[in-house]
Amino acid sequence: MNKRNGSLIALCAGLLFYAATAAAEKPYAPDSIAGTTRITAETVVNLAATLPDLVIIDSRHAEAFAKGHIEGARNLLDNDMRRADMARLAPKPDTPLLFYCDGERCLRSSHAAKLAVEWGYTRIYWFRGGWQEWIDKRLPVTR
Amino acid sequence: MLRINHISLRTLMVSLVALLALLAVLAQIMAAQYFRGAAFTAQRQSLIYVVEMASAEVLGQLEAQLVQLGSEIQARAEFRDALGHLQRTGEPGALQAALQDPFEHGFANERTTDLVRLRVFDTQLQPVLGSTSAIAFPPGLPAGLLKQARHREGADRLKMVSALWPLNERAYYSVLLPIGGLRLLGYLEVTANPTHNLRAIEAMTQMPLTIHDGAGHTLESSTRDGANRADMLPVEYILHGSENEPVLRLVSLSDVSQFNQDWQQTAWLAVIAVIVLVGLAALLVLAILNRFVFRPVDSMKREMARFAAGDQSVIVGTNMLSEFAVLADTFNAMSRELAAKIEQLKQLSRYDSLTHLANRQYFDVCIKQEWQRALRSHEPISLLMIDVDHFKRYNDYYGHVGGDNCLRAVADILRQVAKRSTDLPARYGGEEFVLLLPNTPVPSAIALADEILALFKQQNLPHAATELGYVSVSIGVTTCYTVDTCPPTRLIESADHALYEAKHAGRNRLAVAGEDGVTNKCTGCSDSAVHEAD
Repeated sequence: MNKRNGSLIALCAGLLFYAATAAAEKPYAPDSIAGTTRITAETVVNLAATLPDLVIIDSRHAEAFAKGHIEGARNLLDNDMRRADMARLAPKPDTPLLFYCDGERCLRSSHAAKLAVEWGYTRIYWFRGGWQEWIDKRLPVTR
Repeated sequence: MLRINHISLRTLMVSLVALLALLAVLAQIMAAQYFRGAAFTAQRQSLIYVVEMASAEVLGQLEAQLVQLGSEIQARAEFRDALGHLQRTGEPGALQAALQDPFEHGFANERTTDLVRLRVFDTQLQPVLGSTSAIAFPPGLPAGLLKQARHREGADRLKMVSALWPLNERAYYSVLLPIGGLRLLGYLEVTANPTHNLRAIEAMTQMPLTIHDGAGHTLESSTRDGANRADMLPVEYILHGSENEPVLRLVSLSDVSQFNQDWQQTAWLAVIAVIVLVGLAALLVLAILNRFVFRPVDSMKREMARFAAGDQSVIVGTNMLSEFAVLADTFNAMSRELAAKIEQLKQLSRYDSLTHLANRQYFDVCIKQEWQRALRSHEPISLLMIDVDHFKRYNDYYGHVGGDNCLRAVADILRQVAKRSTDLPARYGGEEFVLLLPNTPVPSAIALADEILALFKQQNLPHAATELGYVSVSIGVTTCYTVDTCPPTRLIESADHALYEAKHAGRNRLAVAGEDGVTNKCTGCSDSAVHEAD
């Protein structure tokens, strides 16, 4: 009886540890980022239609980008993002920028958006729902 | 109609217990059958859920394939050029060829997708062009797609929609994709037959699968082993279209042979266990009934039969269940009361109501019994026959009430002299009395007769109608020594003869007769002193 109880406690403890570490591994993106505008998938479509100079930056790895991305997006991993690259893509500080990555449990787009804010860009749109929201809403995918 | 008055309680109760036991076993068998049905129902329900999940997965995969196919077609340079050509010149030939191309030259998912049609719609969902098809499709969008795609605004118009829909009892699966990426130019409808893909459910569920169309025709038959076996549980799932209309009927067969085998073993074990348990319970019940019901009732039955046969002394035991004890008590009370009544009746039938002496009938019985006893014991037996003198005159003088009182007084005197318990005084008839004296020789009998005469004299009961002035009696005495030659009738006749002699000798005296009836002693008798008796 005691042995069985012991096993059960060990199992529960293991599960709790796993859940805790899993949560620790995959943190949520922040709700908002100062200096940026948080938008939804529908707003992405509207911005793409209304802002001809909009620069859409996909902050994911190249493999994910190759499998499918939003039409017109540029692939630029947040860790590889340099100020000079950004200056080439968006020469003016008021050039509209749009960042997205996998979704709400991906920190790359938020990281990239924060960098852009630091570098002085003023019109930054952050698509927090990212690729997951895009495909959930069955919007067009470009390969 | 069952005539239960011919059935014994034991037979009835044993039959009822046996019937109950049989019903319990039957109920167990029915419960086992019911359990099997319920188990099948539960299994069918869970397997329907499995098939539902599997078909949703298959259709999801098909949708992904059709989206990919639509994207591939749109990505082709020929398609883009043909679309641009159509927009610029209104000439549809090139786009028509581009839509026909996958059917003529193949496409990437050809082996897994049964593509049946490609069509282009404008942004207002009006048909523009389509691939040729042998199937007579209606011109517009299928209702399931149209319902989702129309009345949409803004970014929603770019969202892909899909639908499963029926046409002529067959099923089709269509996706509607925007053309032109984020700049909406129109829509591409990609339609496939999902039946081929649904075959994958068989591999996913590991159960033979047959697909039937809306008219019941078999579209796909299973190739797996066991599809035709008898011990397969059919699990039917109706695949509905996007308008909730039935489109296809999927029948998966679940192997229940192991379940049937297990169930049969379990059911048999359960039935045997119930038979054993119910049998033991029935035996226990019968043992209890036997101890507390059957045996007391049998005992009562036996005692009552004895009672009915004439033994009124029957008292039944009362150590039994309360209801039976009440019955037994009641019976015993009844028995006691009846015995008392019978005893009363016996007394009434043996004794004379006026004098309370034995009557003639009882005397006749007693004299025979005493004679038999004397015969065995070789003892002498004596009889006194006593008659009240001039009793007719007494009645005439004192009236019948006085006569009755006189007879009671005579009876009292006779009771007084009959000292031994075996001496029997009796009223023989009218004013005639007898006194039976077993084991009494002649001298004792004569002495007793003398004592009677003396007592009458002493009592001096007035009798004004005679010379004596008091009530007197005449007594005939007889004694038998050789009893075997002197039957009771002879004894009575001798006593009667002696009484006659005493009467004729003048009354208020005794006369003694021998066994032969010849008078050999007469107190105060003389041959001439013969008077006529009363």
